[in-house]
Amino acid sequence: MSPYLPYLEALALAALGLPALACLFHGLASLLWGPLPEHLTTRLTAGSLSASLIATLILTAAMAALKIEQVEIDLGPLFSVGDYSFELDLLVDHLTIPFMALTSALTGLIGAFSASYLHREPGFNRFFFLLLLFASGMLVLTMAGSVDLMFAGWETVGVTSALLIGFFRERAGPIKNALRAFAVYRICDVGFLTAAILIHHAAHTARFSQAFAPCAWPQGSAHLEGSMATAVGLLLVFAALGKSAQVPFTGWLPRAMEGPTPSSAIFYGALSIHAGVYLLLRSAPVLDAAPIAAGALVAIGVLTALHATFVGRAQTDIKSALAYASITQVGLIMAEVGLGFRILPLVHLSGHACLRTLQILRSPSILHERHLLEQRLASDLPETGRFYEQLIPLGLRRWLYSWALERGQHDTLLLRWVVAPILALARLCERLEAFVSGADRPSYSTPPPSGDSPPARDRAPARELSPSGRAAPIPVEARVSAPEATSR
Amino acid sequence: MHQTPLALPWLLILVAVPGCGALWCARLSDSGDARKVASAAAALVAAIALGLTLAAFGAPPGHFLVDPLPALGSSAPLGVDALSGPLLLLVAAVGLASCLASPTEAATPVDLARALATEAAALLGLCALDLRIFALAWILGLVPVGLALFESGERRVALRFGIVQGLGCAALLAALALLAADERSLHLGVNLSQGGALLALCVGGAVCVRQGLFPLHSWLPTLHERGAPALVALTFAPQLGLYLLLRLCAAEGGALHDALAGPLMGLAAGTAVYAAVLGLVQRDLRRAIGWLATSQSALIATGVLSASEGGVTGSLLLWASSGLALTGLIQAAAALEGRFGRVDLEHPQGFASRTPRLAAIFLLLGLASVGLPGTLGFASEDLLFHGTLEVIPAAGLALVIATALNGLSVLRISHRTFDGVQRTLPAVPDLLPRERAVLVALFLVLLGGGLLPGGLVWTSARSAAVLRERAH
Repeated sequence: MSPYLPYLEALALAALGLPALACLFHGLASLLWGPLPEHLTTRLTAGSLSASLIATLILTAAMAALKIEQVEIDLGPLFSVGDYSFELDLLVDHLTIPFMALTSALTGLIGAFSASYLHREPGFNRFFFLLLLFASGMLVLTMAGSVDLMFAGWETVGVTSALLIGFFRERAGPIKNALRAFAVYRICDVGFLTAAILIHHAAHTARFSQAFAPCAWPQGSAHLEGSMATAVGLLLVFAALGKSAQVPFTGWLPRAMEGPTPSSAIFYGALSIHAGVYLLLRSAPVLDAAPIAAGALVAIGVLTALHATFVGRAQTDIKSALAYASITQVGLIMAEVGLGFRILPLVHLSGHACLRTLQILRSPSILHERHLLEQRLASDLPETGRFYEQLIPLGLRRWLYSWALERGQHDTLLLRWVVAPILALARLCERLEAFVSGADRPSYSTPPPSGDSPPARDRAPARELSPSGRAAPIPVEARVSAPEATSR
Repeated sequence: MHQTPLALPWLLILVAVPGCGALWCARLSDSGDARKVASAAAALVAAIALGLTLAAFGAPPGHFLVDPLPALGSSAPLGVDALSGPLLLLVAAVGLASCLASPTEAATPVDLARALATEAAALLGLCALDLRIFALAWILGLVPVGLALFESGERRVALRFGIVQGLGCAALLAALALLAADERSLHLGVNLSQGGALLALCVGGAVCVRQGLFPLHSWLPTLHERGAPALVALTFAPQLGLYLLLRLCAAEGGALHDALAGPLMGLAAGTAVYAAVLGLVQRDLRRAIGWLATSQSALIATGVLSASEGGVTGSLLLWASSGLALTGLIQAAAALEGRFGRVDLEHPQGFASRTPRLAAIFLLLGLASVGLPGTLGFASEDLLFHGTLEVIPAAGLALVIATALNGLSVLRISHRTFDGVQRTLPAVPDLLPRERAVLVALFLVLLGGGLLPGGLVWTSARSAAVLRERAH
């Protein structure tokens, strides 16, 4: 055992603990004393995430220098009953390190970007609390050494994602889309939770280091066989489909772009969208033992990539186009995982996360730049992709265009054949319940809303001076059209 | 069965304090005075319950601490052990929170008197060592609710409530008569190892009604929709039906458990999913919370019936967690109703623009009730799912699905209530200091219990162990 191990453990704990403590402090202070001042909120966020990043980088360098493959930190059980215990076990290895670095670095950058972007926005405090909560949840997810702890991080990421999609609470669209995304998350979480419990019972442990022993990632093997391995593999794939917006759950992602641009970048360009990939990479030994699940993953990944690339080409707003571009890449990464690659998807994912974050953050100004370039050139910019389009026969091209415009009708099919029958049955039951209980419907004193008023961010805002004397930036949603998805 | 007498009849005092408080409140005409009296009584009850709980955990395992009162049959009439102690504390906490936080419109002297009377009956039921006293508490606890519904002017609702609860009471009394006819012990501390089909039917029927299990569940969401908040919280939190189940047949090995576990577990798991689905289509805020409560109540019952160590422990924890979280939600909904009138979930109401703090605490309590990571609900549901899936995978899967849908329901309620734009909203104050203190305190308890759940899990595991010891 290396004598430096306690220091490495301290660094790992700092990387996770600092954003979590900042989040706890921020939340409790806001709850007890009201919203914190903007400057305090941004300093708290920047300080904790910077410290987390520095700790991660030192940890990485130290592990590389000392040739340590993984650091496992056993904080003891959070609680235990009989044979079952919920282990607070952290694991830092070759898979964890890139995600830790990406989480701290990108969340910190987004925090810095948002400090001016959301300046004087009514939900400023809420946004930063949710950003810190997301960073904490993502770090728990990636550093979890047990499947139970990973689920806690997974749930936290899902809740923050839904709350940030519905950030602009005065508009009906974001509220509806937040609910839709959360519904997909919750249904797919059933797969994760069931898989977690099955792993626990089959392997008699929830720790990755024991369930996928004896080697460190990516060489481990699962202590699961036959139908159990297939069942667990399929459940994990199902869980990942929801979080990573794969077929047939692609529809929520473009809708999720209704949230603030910085949160769209961090969630749906960089981190949250890759949480499903991380889950599958972490449980790769299960996929190795379950060829049916791995095959299904490859098929779904390829299908998603094809679907999203066609649909993305028919989008008319930048954020929807970027959403489908994200889905395409994540579909390819999923296929790579299913094919048994381990390092390739990790590299692909890291590059994709950085590029997409940048693209989404710049998306509001891309239109301006394009117009500027066209003005300078005194002509339209040349279209890309014409060559590939010509390879497809005209008839098929028309059908694909129609398919792309309708987004493959995934949402329509899910709504019509899954959601609508359940809700219709529920409404019928509710009428019966009202009859059985004998209760008349109460009268409501608040009138229905008088239509969707123009959202504050869609009106041209007055340029106000910030306390520092600089002009407050115009909210980006006021400058560019909202995603086309909002009208669907 | 081991009994250790207390120095004073603390359990009798515990029941008498809210009883006397109820009588006092009923004689007052001023709401402010009534709230002071009720809060003082509830605080005193909480202090006594805390002391009794600590004493119960200090006693040797399997021991009852009993009041120094004349014995009823073979044992003392009132007692507390490691199982009932924490439940007394839960009921006391819910009572105190309800008396402090209920909005003025829903905290008239009569409302508070009824709430305290319900609390007294619940405490009597949880302290009872004899099935006859328990049955008396069961019936007395329903009287204030029935009266409130009857006086609210909705006779049909009150009548149907009376019929369903009458069935439950009749089933309990029939079970009592069957046991008495067989000259069997009426002591609640002994697990029934024998029991015929008729006894199982009677006990099962009573539990179904009181727990709100399908098809006898409709009264529970209706009560949430129509009842005064304090009364609703104090009727839901004690879960006397589940307590009866725990005392009579929770541990494996008894004939009564074998007869009841399968059918009741199926009903409970089905009710959890059914209520969760119905929660998604509700138009009324309080009724939506009622369906959430019905689903949670069924989740708890499923865990108890699994009879596994993890399932029973998780259920006991969820009992406390959902009791506190739903009390907070009920009070938050009442606070909203006091400001804006009945809350319609058909359209987004936009109340967050007037009451941002209430919106935040409502969402936090709602998410805590469905197991947000870091809260007590997460730990309890984790144990519950592991314990139940281990015994009956189908029931466990139903619980996981129900919880997923409940989470969705909470977010929908919160979005529809607080988000959106409403131009005609009156200018109202955000949370008042007393409301804020209570709701934040409830959330902090849930958060503390979630971040450091070891002590509470140990407590619940100890309570579950009490049942297993008695079974063997």
